[in-house]
Amino acid sequence: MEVIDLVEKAKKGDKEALIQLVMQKKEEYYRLAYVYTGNKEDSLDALQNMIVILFDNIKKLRDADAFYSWSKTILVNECKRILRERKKEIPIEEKEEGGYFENYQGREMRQDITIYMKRLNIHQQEAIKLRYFLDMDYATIAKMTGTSEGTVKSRIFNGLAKLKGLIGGEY
Amino acid sequence: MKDLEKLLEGKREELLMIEVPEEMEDCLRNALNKRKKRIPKSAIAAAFIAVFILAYSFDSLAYYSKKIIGYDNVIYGSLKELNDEGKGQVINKSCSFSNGIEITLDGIIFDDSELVAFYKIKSTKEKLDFSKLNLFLRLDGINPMGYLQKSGHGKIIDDYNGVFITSFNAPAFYEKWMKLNLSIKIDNTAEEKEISFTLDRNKAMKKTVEKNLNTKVTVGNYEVYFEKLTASSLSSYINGKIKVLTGNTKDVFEENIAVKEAFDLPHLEFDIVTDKGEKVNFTGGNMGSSLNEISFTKNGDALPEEFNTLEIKNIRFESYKIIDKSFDVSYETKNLKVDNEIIVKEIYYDGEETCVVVSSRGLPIIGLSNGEEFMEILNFDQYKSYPESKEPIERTFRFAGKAKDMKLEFKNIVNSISTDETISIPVD
Repeated sequence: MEVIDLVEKAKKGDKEALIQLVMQKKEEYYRLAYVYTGNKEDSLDALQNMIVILFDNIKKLRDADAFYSWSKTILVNECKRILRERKKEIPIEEKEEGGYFENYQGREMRQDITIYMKRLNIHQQEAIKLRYFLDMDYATIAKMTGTSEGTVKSRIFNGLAKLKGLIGGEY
Repeated sequence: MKDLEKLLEGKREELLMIEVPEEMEDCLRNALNKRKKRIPKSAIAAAFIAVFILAYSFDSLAYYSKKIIGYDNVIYGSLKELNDEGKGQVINKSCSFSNGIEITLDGIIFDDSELVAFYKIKSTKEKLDFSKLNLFLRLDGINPMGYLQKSGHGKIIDDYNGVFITSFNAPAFYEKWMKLNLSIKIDNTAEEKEISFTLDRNKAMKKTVEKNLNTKVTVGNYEVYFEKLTASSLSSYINGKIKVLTGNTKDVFEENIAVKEAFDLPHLEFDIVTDKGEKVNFTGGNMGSSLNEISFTKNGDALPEEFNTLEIKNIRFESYKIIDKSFDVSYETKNLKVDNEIIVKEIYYDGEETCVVVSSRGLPIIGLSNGEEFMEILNFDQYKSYPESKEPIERTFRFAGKAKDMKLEFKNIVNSISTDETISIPVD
């Protein structure tokens, strides 16, 4: 069924239509959530929060064609909210232990890019993950993260430059 | 740069390999079916007024009981008990920053090991993103080095308010007039404020135990040196050092990090147990490096009230390996292979409980759901301090309730190396 028809049904309160809309692109949704949260449980939590928000607000969506970008933006916001919540729950002690171990990074770890990505600021990490891990174009990233294309490009450029510096050597 | 892009591409390919969980569709459906109806704004306003009135009542209560108010959901264990008994020192002083953030130091509780500060953050202007608030706290007195922040946590109440506690190294015996220095980065410039207060030594928690331990034990390839135990009715604090017996300490830890994920690093665990079998509840700790040694501290609640002897037991190094697998199971499930090390031998009902028998060397962290929610695990503590065995052993996990179709989730497995040695702590 066409996206427009399903959106119209969802607007009339058809829950199954909304589920169908999401499940038609389930890989894209799940991977987007996973890129942010890094684990299955939080990804599913974010998706569940997202679908409730979609259901409560879909009547406000004027352009049915915009459903996917609108819903993914909501998913990203939910992932960020979950990450913030989780940050609140982490006692400072645990962070200190992490900090200690970071000082002992071995050379072999250079292969694991994600460890170095944690050294970038959160906006640079986000932009690089969306661009390179999910293959999104600059315009989509800009829309999803509520910023301009120029800012996205500069975050990616600066992030990559910093990564290059952190990894050093032939990179 | 091309090689860097190749590494990023590699991560992308890894991500593409991640499969969408089968339960995703059910999760979405359940979320929609269980969705709560929106609460009318008028109800929210009424609740807000009720909280507002209660908050005012609490203030007057605080004046009489000297309890530091508003932290019931933030503090636990002996800290909560002491605060409930009104044993803290109420400060109730505030400072304001140019961006509208107001911080109130409500009170402190301290002993010879630490000083715990209770403070509230309030934004009087715009919504506050607490994760971006770059707040740095330092406690100053006569000691020119000051007293560093050790640990802390808190609760964000809404977009404008949060309550927090943070602990500092204890002020030295000669300190009396203290300043809590607060610094927030606003527009790339650190803005500093301070709150002055006088330590009321009558409020300090008296020491109950202070013992030099100076004892070494060997655990696998590590030598653990326990230096000192200090305890009051507020907290227990134990510190020492770790050495690697063969090879260079730093190299061994580097090697660990190189081959494993950060989550998988070994960390020191032990129990302090009284002759009555009660354990100290550890709440935090950290490790730091210096040359060829690693120093550690562990801090926890106060020692139990009554005991004749104290022992350090179950000294072990634990590491976590991520499993992250789930299986549809029933009471007929037998010999389900989770991985090369872990086998679910059988699942059976015992009265109104479901028993899951798992064979493994390390301790698996598992969850069992009945399709709607996770069933409560009843006997995890039985295995919590149980060291890893050389050969696989069977552990029977008991869950409350029964269901025909269940989902068994394996999160991690805790591997440990341990020693049978115990350390007796002489008590006067």
